[in-house]
Amino acid sequence: MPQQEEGRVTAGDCAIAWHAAGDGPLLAYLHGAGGLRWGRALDGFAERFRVVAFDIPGFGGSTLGDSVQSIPDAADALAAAMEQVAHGERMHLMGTSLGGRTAAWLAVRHPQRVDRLVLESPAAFRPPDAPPLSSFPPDELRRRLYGNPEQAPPTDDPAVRQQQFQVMARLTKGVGWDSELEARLGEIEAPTLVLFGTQDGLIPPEMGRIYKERIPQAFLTYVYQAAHAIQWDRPDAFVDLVSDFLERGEAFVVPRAKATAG
Amino acid sequence: MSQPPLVFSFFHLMAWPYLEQPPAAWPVAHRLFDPRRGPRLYGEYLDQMALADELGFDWVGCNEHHYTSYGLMASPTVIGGALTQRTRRAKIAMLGSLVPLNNPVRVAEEYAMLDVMSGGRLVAGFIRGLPQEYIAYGVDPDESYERLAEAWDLILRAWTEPEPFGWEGKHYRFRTVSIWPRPLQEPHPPIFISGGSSDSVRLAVERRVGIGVALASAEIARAQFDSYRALARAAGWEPTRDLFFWDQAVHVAKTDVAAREAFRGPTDYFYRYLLVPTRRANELVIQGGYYHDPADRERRLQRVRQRETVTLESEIEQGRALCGSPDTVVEQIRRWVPYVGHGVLNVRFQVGTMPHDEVVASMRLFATEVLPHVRDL
Repeated sequence: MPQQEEGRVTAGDCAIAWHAAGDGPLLAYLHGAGGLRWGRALDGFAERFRVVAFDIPGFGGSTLGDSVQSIPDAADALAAAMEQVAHGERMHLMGTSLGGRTAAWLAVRHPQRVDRLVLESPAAFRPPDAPPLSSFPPDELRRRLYGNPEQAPPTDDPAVRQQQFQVMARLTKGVGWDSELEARLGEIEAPTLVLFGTQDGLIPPEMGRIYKERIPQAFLTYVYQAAHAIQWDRPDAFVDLVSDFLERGEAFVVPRAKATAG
Repeated sequence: MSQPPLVFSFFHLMAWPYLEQPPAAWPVAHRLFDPRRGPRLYGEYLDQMALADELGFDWVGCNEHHYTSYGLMASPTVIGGALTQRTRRAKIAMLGSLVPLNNPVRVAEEYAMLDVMSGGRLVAGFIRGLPQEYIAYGVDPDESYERLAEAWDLILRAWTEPEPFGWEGKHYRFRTVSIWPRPLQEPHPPIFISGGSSDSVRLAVERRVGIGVALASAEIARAQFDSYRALARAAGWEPTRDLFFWDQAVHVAKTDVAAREAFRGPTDYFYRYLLVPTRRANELVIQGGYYHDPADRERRLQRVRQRETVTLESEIEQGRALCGSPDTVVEQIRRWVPYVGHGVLNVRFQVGTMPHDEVVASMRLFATEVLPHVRDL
C-alpha cells in the first residue's frame, strides 16, 4: 500500500480531514455513507494519481460545523478544502454513493475546482418507494452493498454506523430523490463518468440514465457483477476504466491497446 | 389450470443432402460442398419455411452451426432476414444465434432488426451451442455459461437502455453502446435457451425463460422439463407448457408403411452422415468444464454414442421421430404431449436427404389431417 499522508484544513466552521497517497495528477475522493474505506481500488489509483480522500463534514476526522445543514453546504466546505490542498489548481473529483451526490453538487456549485468528474453509484436519486438504508438489518445491507462479500471491508462498529446515519439524515433531510440537483445537473461543466453496478441493491442502476440525460458531457457505464460498492466488487476493472477516463476524457471511448493521454 | 395452446414450430436445419459417404470427422472439408447446387437448395428450403407459414405453423425456426454439412445456417439471422420477407404470420424463432460465440451487441442488433422487420414476430433464442462450435469460433468452452449469462445481460441492456451506455464486463467490454433499431416487442422479444444440461435448466428457471431440448428422447426431454417444473415450484411459481420446446423429426404419408419407407433413408443419412462425424469433437470439448455437473457430461457422451446404433424404429419408439399415416402421427402426438409436457412442438420435416417434393407433401398432409386433430390437446 502506498504511503499515506494525512492532514486537516479549515473550511468555514468545519475542519476537513484529508488522507493522501501517490504521485501524479490530483484526484480528490469523497467516500460513501459508511465513511472512508481505503482499499485495493484507491491503492490502484495511487499508482497513477495523487489521491486525496477528504472526510465529508461529520465523518471520520472532519467536523460538522453549524453552517453545514445540507449536501450543498457540505460540498461548499469540501470545495474550500480542495482549493487549499490543491493550491487553487483543479482536481479530478470522484465520489461514491453519498459522496457521489456531494461531488455532483460540488461540480454544480464550484465548476472551477473540478477537472473531470466520476460518480460511483451516486445516491442522488433513490426512487421514493425504495426503503431507507437505516431500515435494512446489517446483513441485508451488506448483501445489497457487496456482490462479492469475500472482498468487502469488515463490518462497521454499530455505534459508528448509527452516527453516520444521523449525519446523513441531517445532510439529506431524509430526501432520497434530490430534485434540486436533478434540475441543476445541466450546469455541470466537467466531463463526467457515471458508474453503476448491474447488481446494485440500494439504487436501481437504471437511475444512471438521469445523469446521462442531463449532464452535458456524460458517460454512463454499467459494471457487470458489481453491486453498490463497485470498487470493492470489481476493483481492478474499476481502476482501469476510471483511470482511462481521467487520463483521456471523452477519447476513452476509443479502444487503444496502449492508451495515451488526450 | 388451462394450458396455453400448443405451438407448432417448423424447424429447419438446412442440411446438405449430397454427401456420397459419411465424412471422416468434424470439421467437414468444404470441398464436399458444391456451391453450384447451393442456390437451388437454399431456395427449396426457404420455400418450405414460407409454406409452413401459409399452412398455419405458428413458428418457423432457424439455428446456427459451423463447419458442417449438418446445417447450412452458419448465420441464422441471414435466413431470418429472408423469412421476414417470405412469411406474414408465423413467429420467426431464432433458436438461434450462439450467444457466447458471437459479439453480443451484434446479436442484439440483428435480433432487433428481425423483430422490427417482421413486425414484432421474433422469438429470441440465446443458445449456448453444440460443443464443437467452440472449436469453430476459438472460444474456451469452459467459459460458455459465464459468457452466456453475461452476454444475456448485455443484450437485454442494449435492447432496453434508452441512453448510450458502456459495459464493463468480465468477458465483454464496450465503452459505448446504443443500438439502432431497438426491438418492437415490449419490453423485449420472448427468450428461450437450450435446456440440455442441469445448469441451463437452473439458469432458465432463475430468469423465467423457456427452454428447448433437441435430439433427445421423450424420456430425456421429460426429465429436463420435470426438473424445470420442480425448481420453479420450489421458487414459488408454476411454469406453463409454452416454456418448453422439444424437437422431433416428422414424416407423414398416406400409410404407415409408405411413411417409414420414405423416412428410413433420410434418417439413416441424418445420423450416419451428418451427426456421427461430430462425435470425436464432442468428446474433446466436453472433457473440460463445458458441463459443471459430471452427470450432464455422462448423459451427453451416452447420447452421442447411441447415435451410432439408431434405427428409424428406435427413433419412433423413443419419440425423436413422428412417422406414419396421419392417424398414426396424431396418436403419437397424443401420446407424447401429456408424457413430456411440452407446449412447443419443434418439428423437422426436412431430414437428411428428404427431397423437396416429399417434404412438401408431408407438410400438407400434416397441416390438413394431423394439425386439426391435435390443436386442442
